[in-house]
Amino acid sequence: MSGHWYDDEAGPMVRPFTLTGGRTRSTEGERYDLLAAVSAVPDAEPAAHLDHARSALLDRIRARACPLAELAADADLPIGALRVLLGDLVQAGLVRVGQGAAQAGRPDVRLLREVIQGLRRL
Amino acid sequence: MTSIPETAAVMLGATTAAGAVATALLARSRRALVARSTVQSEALNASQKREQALQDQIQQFGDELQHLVANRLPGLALNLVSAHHPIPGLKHEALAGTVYAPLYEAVLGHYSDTVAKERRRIDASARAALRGACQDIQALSYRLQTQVEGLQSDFDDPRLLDSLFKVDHLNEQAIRLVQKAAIVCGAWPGHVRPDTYVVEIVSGASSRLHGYERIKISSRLLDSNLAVVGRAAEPIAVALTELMANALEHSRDDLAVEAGLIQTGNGSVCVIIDDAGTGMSAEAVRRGVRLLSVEEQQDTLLTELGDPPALGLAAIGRLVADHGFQVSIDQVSPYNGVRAVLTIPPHLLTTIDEEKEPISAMAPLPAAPPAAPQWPTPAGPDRTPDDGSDLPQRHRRARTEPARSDAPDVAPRELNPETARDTWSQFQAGLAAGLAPNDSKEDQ
Repeated sequence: MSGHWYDDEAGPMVRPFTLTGGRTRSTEGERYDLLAAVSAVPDAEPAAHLDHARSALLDRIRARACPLAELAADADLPIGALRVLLGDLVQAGLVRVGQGAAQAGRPDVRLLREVIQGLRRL
Repeated sequence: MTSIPETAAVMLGATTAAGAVATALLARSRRALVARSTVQSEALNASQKREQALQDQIQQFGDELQHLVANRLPGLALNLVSAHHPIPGLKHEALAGTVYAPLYEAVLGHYSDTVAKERRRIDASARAALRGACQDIQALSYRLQTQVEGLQSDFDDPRLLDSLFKVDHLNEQAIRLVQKAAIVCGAWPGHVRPDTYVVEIVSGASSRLHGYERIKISSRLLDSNLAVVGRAAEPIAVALTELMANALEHSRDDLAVEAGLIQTGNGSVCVIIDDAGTGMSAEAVRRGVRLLSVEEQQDTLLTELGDPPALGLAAIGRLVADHGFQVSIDQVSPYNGVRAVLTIPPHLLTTIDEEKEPISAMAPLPAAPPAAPQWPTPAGPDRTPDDGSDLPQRHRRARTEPARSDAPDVAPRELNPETARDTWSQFQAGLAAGLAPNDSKEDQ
């Protein structure tokens, strides 16, 4: 046996395309905003038919509601794949995805200044 | 005075007597000559017979040698390729009991020994060459995988993502092919993964195949935390991939392949792969069982794997021998196809603590930081409670470690989706506003 290790190069065993079955668009047809709040529907029926990945995602959302972008980072999922999985959960009536940034009103000037300064420092 | 007649009579008498004596002498001499001549002719006869016998023997040796060169050695050569070719015996049965028979057998013995040794030597160098090439390709493919993963995270446009998914899938298939060839050539599978959920292993294995959509995974595990210990995760995934590949290959494109997970009474987990194909011939099953048997692993040569080579089963055979799980392929599925069963014994199973490592789709590491990082501990008895082998173990780099280091700042915050949304929307709006003038300049 010759030792050759790829631990540093290799990605996770389950690939994103397997989780979505190759789909890149959610069944809902809606493209959730990065900032949309994702939360679990409180009294939803427990879904027995969910596969491992979807029930894992649901557990995560039930544990803590958060914006979509943050959920993707936490679950280490590409945003595109997460949107598809969320679409399935929304369709099953288990998860609610809120509105995105467009409705959130104007940002305040002080924050914008901070952001600009932060960007310049990069 | 004697008279003349008297003298004549005396003379005659003497002559007669002398003649008689001479006759007697002559007769004796003749008898002796005859006797000698008989002896000599007998000797000549015997010598001629001996010569004939020797001639015959030489002829026999020549014949036998000719037979050895023309029939027996070529027969042996064929027999060494495939055992169903017969090796011809001696041509002259008369030689069987003689001291020469073992010499002829010795020639055959030397011949087959030399061929076998040479074959092993060539096989070993072919293995080494193939292994090296495969491992290099495998390393590159993993780097490609990382790159594609990065792109998938950076770009969420569905059309682009679709292409990236396809690239990822193609790359997975390429990795599978070189990985199994490398394993047959004596390489490690190449990973010590973290402890991995059994369901994830089955699903990960299916993603390495063309036609993975046809594989229907159903889990009847009572304990959803059940996982395979890190060092066996990749080997079991490779074996499952090959079993599923067989199932997909041997059934029509529109037929599903079922992969079911069950837990047995003695604590093992069985992954049962049923296809609805035409099944395997008895000869194919025999061959498969032979490739999978632990005893055969030392004797299987690359050259014996057929064309196209049966690398899949040979790879499983090696993994089974090295890692101690079991595989059977000799059952018939409920759909008259093949039922393959992979049994993971209890010592290769563990449970993942969901408190420490919440179930996740992709990342087994928790988002909320625990008090102390758990994973860089060396392989200790608590991690692998089974055989206590002291093989060095490396672990996957901690992907979220940077987030962990500043974790105390993040941990206590109040979590509220609305606040988070506001913060993020302010950030995004600010970013958009900042970028807007640049964009308009570029447009001009």
